[in-house]
Amino acid sequence: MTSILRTRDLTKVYHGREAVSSVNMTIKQGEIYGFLGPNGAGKTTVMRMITNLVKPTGGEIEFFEEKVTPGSYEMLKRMGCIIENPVFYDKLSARENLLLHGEYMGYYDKKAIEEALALVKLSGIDNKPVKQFSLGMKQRLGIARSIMTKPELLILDEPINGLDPVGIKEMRDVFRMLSREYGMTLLISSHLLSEIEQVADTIGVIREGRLLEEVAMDSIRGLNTDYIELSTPEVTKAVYVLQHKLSLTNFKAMDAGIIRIYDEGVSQQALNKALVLGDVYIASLSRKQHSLEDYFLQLIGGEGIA
Amino acid sequence: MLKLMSLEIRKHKLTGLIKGVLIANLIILGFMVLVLFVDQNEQVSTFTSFGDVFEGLFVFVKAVFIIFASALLGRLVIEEYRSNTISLLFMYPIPRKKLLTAKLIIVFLFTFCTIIISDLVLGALLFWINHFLQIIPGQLTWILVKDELVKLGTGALYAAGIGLIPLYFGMRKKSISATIISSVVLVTLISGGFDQARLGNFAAISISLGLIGIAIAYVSIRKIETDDIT
Repeated sequence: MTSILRTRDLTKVYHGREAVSSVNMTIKQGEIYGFLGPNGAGKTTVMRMITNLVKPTGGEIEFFEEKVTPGSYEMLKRMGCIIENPVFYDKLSARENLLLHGEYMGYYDKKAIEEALALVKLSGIDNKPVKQFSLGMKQRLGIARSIMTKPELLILDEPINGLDPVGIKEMRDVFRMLSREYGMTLLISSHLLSEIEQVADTIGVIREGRLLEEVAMDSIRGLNTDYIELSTPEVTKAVYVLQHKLSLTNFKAMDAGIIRIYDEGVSQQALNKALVLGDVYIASLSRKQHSLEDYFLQLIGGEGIA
Repeated sequence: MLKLMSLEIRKHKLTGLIKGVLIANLIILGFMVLVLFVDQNEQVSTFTSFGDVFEGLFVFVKAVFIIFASALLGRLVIEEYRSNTISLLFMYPIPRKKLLTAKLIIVFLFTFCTIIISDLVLGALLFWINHFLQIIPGQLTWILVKDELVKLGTGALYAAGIGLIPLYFGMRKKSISATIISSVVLVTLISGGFDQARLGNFAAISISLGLIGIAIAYVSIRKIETDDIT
């Protein structure tokens, strides 16, 4: 796949502090790129630089292999964006807002407005001014506005803020559809892993302005490991049983009387039996999954995502 | 550019301003008539001729519409920053300086046109009212009318430039009240004074202020291209 967007050592300094430091990210054409990081990690600043709202202090951005400069306006025709909260001319109605958007973008397909509104399930809103919309409705309208011009790159900053669980599911389906059926490339930021892992093809993890990792979801899904967790106050005795009675080698004693057994050949039942026979007190024994969440929590240092 | 200007007018529903302009004009007219009546009973009257009346009217009209311009600047420029719609606007594939220029041209033309039209209409109305009430002493001559028209054209041009000065104060902290207050202060400075000793009557001062307004607009337009919108 060719890359649609690439940044090289992208850096932004605000008041002597680096808000974004040497970010190298590559977004491939047609994929959904999840941009994950705690609040204040620099996600929005990166997105503002991509959309030319904020000028980088250092480094560069390439869009379709063309360098972005302060005068690069044409490329904005090929993007659809929501940065932070979607803003509207809120005395105007939803339709008037979308009409204006079309005029400014140079996109005059009237049908596109109805299609976009239907896609985010915002039909039948009449001529109510946007001022009277709830946050969730504004979020939907924002998404409708950003997709109505059928952009090649869709940039969505925390797009499901303010949506209810049903709405979140609907939007997730919309994102997938845009990617699969329209071939759009999506850059979606979030501070919630659970939100992103289900749709993203690639996840870039950012923290304190640095891109810590950029991984394809397929490759980390493979990292998922099952293990059996044994909790016991008699760790030494238990280890003896595991090693000598069951001939296990792949296990790890953690803190606080917890042992993780990664050997695949052993069942929970056999373990239980051997430990009881070995007179080991078992506080609990259960099968666990080392989840993606653990993986990202490790990267980010345990804060802000869940 | 015309397209951008018409989009601005649509977006901010500027046609609604016409009502405001009409009300402002009615108030000016009412005030002028009132002053003329009061003036009649004074021992030393202020308005001794049509020239004086037109002069007073012109100062008044200019003051009102320079303040009006600042309100318009607030709505077209500052409010976009305050409600953050500016980041939406600046994500369109249109150079920022074009977008801002369109806004400022609207303000400039609005000030220029409303001053000219209001002054002409109100002047005519005062002349017509005087026809019945005979409150203005002296005669209206063609020479005077021609003189007034030239003054009106040039004065409106300077005023339209002056109307852009509040942009500087408003943009500093993106404050609408700063925009309007600075215009009120400005208007007080140039329109205050006695008889002919008004600051605004010194051509050099009016021209300089008008040019300062244009310069402020120019600098703002140039600066906007490299500004970070956060």
